[in-house]
Amino acid sequence: MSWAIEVQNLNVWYGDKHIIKNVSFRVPKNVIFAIMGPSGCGKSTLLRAMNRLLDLNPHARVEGQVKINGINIYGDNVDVTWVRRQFGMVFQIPNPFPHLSIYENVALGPKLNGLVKDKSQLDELVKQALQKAYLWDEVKNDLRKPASMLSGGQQQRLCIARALALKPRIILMDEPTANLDPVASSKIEELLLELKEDYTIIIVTHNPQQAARVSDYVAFLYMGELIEIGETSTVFTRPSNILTEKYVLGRMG
Amino acid sequence: MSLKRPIDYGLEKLNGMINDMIDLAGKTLEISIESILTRTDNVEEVRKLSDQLMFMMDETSELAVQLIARFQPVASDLREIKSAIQVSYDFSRIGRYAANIAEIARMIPEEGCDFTSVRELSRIVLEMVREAGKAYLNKDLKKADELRSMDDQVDKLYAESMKHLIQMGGKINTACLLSIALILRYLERIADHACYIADATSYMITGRKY
Repeated sequence: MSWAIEVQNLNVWYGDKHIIKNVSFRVPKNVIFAIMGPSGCGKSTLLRAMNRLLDLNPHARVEGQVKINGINIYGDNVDVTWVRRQFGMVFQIPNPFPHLSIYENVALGPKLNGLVKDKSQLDELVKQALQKAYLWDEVKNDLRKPASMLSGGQQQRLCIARALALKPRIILMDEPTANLDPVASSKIEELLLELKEDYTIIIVTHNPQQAARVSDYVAFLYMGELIEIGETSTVFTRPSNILTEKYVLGRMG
Repeated sequence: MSLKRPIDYGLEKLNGMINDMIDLAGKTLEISIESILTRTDNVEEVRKLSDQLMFMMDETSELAVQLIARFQPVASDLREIKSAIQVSYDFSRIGRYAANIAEIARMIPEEGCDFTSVRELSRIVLEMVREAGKAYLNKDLKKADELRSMDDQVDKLYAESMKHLIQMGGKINTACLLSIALILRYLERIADHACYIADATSYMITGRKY
């Protein structure tokens, strides 16, 4: 089995606070892998350790390994830009560049990274990314309008299109529907199921029902420790750890 | 103590309904066996109780479906609801078989039938039905295991009694022979349903198939 990502004995500290405690797991390719757990359990930190986004936090210290294609991204000679390029990332609050046009939001990354040779290639790439994010039909006549005119759900799909345009292997999502209404949320969930054909998706959620609906595998994180990991259908019918059971039943805390 | 979750009120109600079914199924079976052993015609009463059990099964599964729709239960909540649907069906089947037994009372000749085997088997089966109810309500894994071994005992006794009946063919009144054979058969089916209840109980507790 080849893995999309392998996390080995990962530890994260903020100052002297131990946030992620010796976490290990592997994610197969082309699956949706959910990380669930109560607020403050370290989910977002774990996600940010996977693409070295934590490097930007001067108080954060990381130990352990995260491997993509067998390469430890925390290894000595690894290019951080290469690492980040393996990942697309989508955050809780849709964060398109509000003053840029819809088109430019998607086009900026490929342009800056020299992914395209000419305008027609760029047009095609933008169109493909918007189509993959199931946004194209809604915006194809408004490509030059500012991204801020879109609804919250559309903005979030624009952020997904923006991530896809850089052709990542893995998409990291941090509570991508937390700020959306139920209809916009289900659109994102449908989109995730489509996207896993081509990508591996790791989604952090504090909504266990969402993990139950969309993920193939689920990990339960509690106070920085990985309590349980397994196939979603097993974890939600017979969790093996009492803490997981309490959490999915809504009996925690 | 922590607050009750909204689904807990529904699960308590569901358990209350199963509790009523357990009492009623035991009572129905008891009366039907009585009617054989004392040769009294209780058919109308037993049929009524059996219909009531069917009605309660519908109510139970209706509530179960509502709980699924409203709370999207998972883990032990989900297993409890699934098991409730299952055992309510089993208790209603037990009621049906009890009615079948009571109906046989009308076929039995006035004299000359030896109900020793019926007496013996019905004692175990009635106990199984009651114990199955207790195992379910108390989430008692050990009792559920015991029920499965009681069922082995029932199967053995049933096989022996049938063999004996076949040997008696021609030597006893045919109506007697048929009545006893049918009653034994119904009792054996009831024991199976008690066993299914034990299986549902074990599944509810462990999440594994039995």
